[in-house]
Amino acid sequence: MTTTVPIEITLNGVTRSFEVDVHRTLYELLRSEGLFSVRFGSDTGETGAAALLLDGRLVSAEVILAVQADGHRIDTVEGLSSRVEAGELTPEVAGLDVIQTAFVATGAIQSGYSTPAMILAAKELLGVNPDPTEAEVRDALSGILDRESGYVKPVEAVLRAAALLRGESREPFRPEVIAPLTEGGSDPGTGPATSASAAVPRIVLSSDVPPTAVVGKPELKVDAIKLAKGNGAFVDDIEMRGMLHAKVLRSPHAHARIVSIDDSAARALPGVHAVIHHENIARVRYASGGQSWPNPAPLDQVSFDNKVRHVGDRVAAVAAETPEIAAAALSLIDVTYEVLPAVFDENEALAPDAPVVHDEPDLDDAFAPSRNISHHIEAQVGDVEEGFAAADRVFEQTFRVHQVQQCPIEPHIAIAWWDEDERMVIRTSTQVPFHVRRMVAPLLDLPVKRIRVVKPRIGGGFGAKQEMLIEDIVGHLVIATGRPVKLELTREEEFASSRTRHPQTITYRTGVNSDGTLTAQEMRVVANTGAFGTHGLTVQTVTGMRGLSSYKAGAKRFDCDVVYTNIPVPGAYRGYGAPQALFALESHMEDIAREMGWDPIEFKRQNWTVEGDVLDIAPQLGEGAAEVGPLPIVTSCGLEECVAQGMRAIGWERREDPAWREPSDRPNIRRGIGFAMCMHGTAIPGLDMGAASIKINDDGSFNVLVGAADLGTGADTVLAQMAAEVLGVPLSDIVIYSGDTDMTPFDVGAYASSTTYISGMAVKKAAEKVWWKIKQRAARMLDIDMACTIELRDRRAWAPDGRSVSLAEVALNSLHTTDQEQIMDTASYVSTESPPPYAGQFVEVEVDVDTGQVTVVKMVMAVDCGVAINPVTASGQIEGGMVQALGYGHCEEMAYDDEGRMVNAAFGPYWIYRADEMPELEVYLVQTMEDSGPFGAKAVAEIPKDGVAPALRSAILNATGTAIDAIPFTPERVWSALQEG
Amino acid sequence: MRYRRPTTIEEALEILTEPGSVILAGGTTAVPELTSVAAADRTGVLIDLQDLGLDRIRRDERVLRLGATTTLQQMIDAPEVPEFLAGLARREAPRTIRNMATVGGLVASAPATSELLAGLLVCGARLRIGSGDGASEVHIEEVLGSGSGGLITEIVLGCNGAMAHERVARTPADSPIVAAVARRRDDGQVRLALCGVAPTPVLVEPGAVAGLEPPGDFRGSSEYRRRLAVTLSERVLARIEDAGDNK
Repeated sequence: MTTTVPIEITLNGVTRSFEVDVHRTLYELLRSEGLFSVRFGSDTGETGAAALLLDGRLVSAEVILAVQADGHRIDTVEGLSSRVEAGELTPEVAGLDVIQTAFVATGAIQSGYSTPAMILAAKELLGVNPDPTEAEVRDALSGILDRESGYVKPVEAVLRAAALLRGESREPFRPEVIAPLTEGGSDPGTGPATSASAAVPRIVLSSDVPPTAVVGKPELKVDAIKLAKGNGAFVDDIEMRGMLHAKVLRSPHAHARIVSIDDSAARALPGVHAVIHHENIARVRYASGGQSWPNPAPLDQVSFDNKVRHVGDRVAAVAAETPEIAAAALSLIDVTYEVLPAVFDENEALAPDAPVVHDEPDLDDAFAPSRNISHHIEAQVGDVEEGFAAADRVFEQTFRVHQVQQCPIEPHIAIAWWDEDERMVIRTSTQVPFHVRRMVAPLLDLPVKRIRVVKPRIGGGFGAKQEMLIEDIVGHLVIATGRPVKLELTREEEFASSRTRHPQTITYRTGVNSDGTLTAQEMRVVANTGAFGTHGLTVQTVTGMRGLSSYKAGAKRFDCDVVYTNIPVPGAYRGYGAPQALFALESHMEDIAREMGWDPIEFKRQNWTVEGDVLDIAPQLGEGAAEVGPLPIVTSCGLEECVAQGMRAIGWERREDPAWREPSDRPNIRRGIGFAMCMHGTAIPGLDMGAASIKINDDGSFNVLVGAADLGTGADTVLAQMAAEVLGVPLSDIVIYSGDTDMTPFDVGAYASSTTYISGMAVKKAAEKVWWKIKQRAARMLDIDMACTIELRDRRAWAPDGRSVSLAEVALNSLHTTDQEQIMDTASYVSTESPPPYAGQFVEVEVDVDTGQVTVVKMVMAVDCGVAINPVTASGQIEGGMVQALGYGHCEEMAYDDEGRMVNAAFGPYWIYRADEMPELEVYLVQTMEDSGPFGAKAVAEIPKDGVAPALRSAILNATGTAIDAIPFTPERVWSALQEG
Repeated sequence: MRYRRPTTIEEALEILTEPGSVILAGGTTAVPELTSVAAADRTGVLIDLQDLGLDRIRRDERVLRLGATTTLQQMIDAPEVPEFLAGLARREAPRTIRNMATVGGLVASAPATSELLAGLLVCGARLRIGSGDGASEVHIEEVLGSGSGGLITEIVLGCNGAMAHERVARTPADSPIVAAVARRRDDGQVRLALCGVAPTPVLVEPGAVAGLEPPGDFRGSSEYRRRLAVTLSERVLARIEDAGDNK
């Protein structure tokens, strides 16, 4: 029996009365009142996504009871800017205040999920401290975890807002152009390249990039205003009448057979509408990885199985009137398990007597399930054994990389319902709406045409949402109940039952001649794919591809077993097999150089691939069946410039200075600087496909419809910039809509660093078709024969003689006046190439040699991503990616007990970097002109994940002389290694 | 569950005698428990302390008095609180949590990694329990982890002398694997407290550190924690000695 209590709250200035249950949190109350800017991060409040101001103080609403707020004042961002005015939508017209405007202006908003909380943090701080230091700003933001920005631009936004509120003026936020250091560039010197704030992207221009009007400019993100206002833009921000709440019963055992399920008590609980499990849901095999058709084998999952394979695996699901009833129903489901022996380590899983994770008789497409091998991958160029025989020295080294989680602050969430046409609508936080539609259809026994998948704004994905992870559950429950159903994972479920990064044991063997050349390089990998194969094949393929493409060698060989175990499931995680490979490769190469007495950068430089080099192993390690014909060749490479800029910015020369490395006033501290080179891919050649449709409106604006799934990265913005560039209009004349299977053309989705390159080229091509139709229409209106002489710029079509018509006049003419037609077109793009972006990653550390504690002082990354379509969003990608990568190398780790239960499934025990402890970050964008990409672009999203762990290892090695072959570099690991000397 | 927000300590103490009563301070630890599935059927009274006026901070020459519902952020912002303790309060949690979490709640929940509790231990903190004639005072080390058995209204501590703090953690803002806090009082008495070597922060005789057998976990094995305890204790003790010598 619950008791309700009357309370009174002054909510955004209005006094309101409520009757609330004592157990109800303030978070739940405000959400139910439609204050959608207060967002779920976890039940324990550490993400800060649900932060609001209570009597002016920033607090996490998930850990405050509504009754505690009785008699108090509550402010949310809805109270800052409720105004919506007529006219062109600008920050001013949208009624943004100074702080919100600063967040928009500095590129501080990526997914925007936690932006309202950050804005309120700034509000609290600046209310009492108009002139805060950077440290004070970081402290104010310390309670809001950000997985996207590395906090660089949010801190800048608050400092900028403070200055503006003090009445000071500020220049527009834009990149700082830096002179090149290579190819006839200036003398590097040793000072910093610029005194600009670290949030400002440093850009090194390339002379062969043609001038542009919109592309390459620091345009404001197209979704920034609504995100700064906290508008209801995410999956959960709708209200469905009669919606039920789903909860999933999860396995407490790492490996067990379900002997029986008795759901009668759960079904009898008032308010429960459905209980589903393996006895009442059809057994349809699938693979959950969101990939192109046909999904790579093995199809080793079903919606509900009679066996569980990891702690957190699905057992049953319930739909009920409230989340509380659903949770109570779960506890009433009586499951009898036969607990089986479990295996967690990938090498132990290969032992002859290891427990068999997949023994189901209907699994017929795994490589060798009785030996726990889901996939076996081999690739070879030349004869490595010959190469080793001919080498002066052969080095062999084994590395271990561990399991981490993507940790989007918005967990997986989906809401599904039957619409008025009795088609199923699934509104879901996904990176792959089209794959989800196709993959969920057979599980629900619905034709694809009866399903619509909608991806609204999503609060980060990082690969965790490149899955069909929970959509089948809500679909089954909608079918079972006829009611709308919502399922939102808890933070604990997000750790135990979403997706993670594959652990691997990696062994490199490299033959080296005394002249520094590599005769052969071999990479053997045992990869842990946990309970299911999902991305097991393709992630490990990328591991081989990246692990054997950065350097030239006379012969190369890749050999990989992908192994089933009973850990929570690895899948896609930003970087996709490359961070594992590059940790091992870069560390191995540095150790070879050290052993041989060579400078590590010189040795690497002698062997790394540059423009004109052939990527010889690539065709064998492409994905799926798409074998690309000729050997791919590197067509652009800015690596030398990246390395030069990075060396200057990090102060590389200090590396050899004993007085710096061993500070005399701190006897237990050693300092060091490390380096790693990074090379990644851009989309999957021959496979990744994107499409776009563009149509003109009466006022000469355009709708751009793309299947691409912006997951907070700014994809919608860069795609709209490309359309605006071609069509000769400002970005504000492009209305972009993405990721809705009914409304937009197909796209594979947001993964493999493909959106800018693939979807971007589709947008460019579609825009060029529309551009031609406009020119033809304008030529007619201007009475000119040669449509090709018409130019589009400044919202007008210009004839060579200086006459012009506006695009609005063209639109009105075409839609209403003469030979009426809708000027619109569609284009698709698939690439045969995957031009590699390059980067130099630098890290500076301090190591306490008595305790093993490593403190990261500074990170610099200089990236050649071709032409950055938007340098502000591109640098934001790099900053955020580097910080995620720092977590991988330094502090993040999924830890288990002996029974396979995760012991740190919460933020805190699982540590992600906070705003008030960040190393200094600096980002350089080194332009190259990649002719195969739209406007010269290559990928940028994943390469920041590749270099931090090896550069951190390199820095610790520089500081202490100790090389450590496993991550993360937690204090005890480093201390133990130092003890061993 | 019922909800009460008493306005006097006497009223609070009276409600506290009811069966199933639960004290709610800031709520940052209690609310996740109260809202869990397990707590759905709980009956009793939730006693919210916010109107008791227990968030006062006073300091005289001898002692610092912290009202039990003083938030960690109030400690940081108050000029009466020595910088050293304010720094430990800052380490306790990020801003969003510090704005709600109270020092009394921290004592009651006694997390093993709390460096502020270690600071309170070396400062000889005493807890005032109850009020009026029935009030009593206990040393904080007597109740950490076992519960005070009553309503903490005030924390009284001395803060003269030299203080030092050392820690090892995965990252700068992470909770410590092991931390050491030491104080040398003006009269020369030395106290040492450690986090991460026992279920709660504990006072340890300097000579006994090497013999500790801390419980290990994924962040640090027992042996590693013992070694850290020795190293960090040596450091903080050396620093308070230096501070004493420099006087």
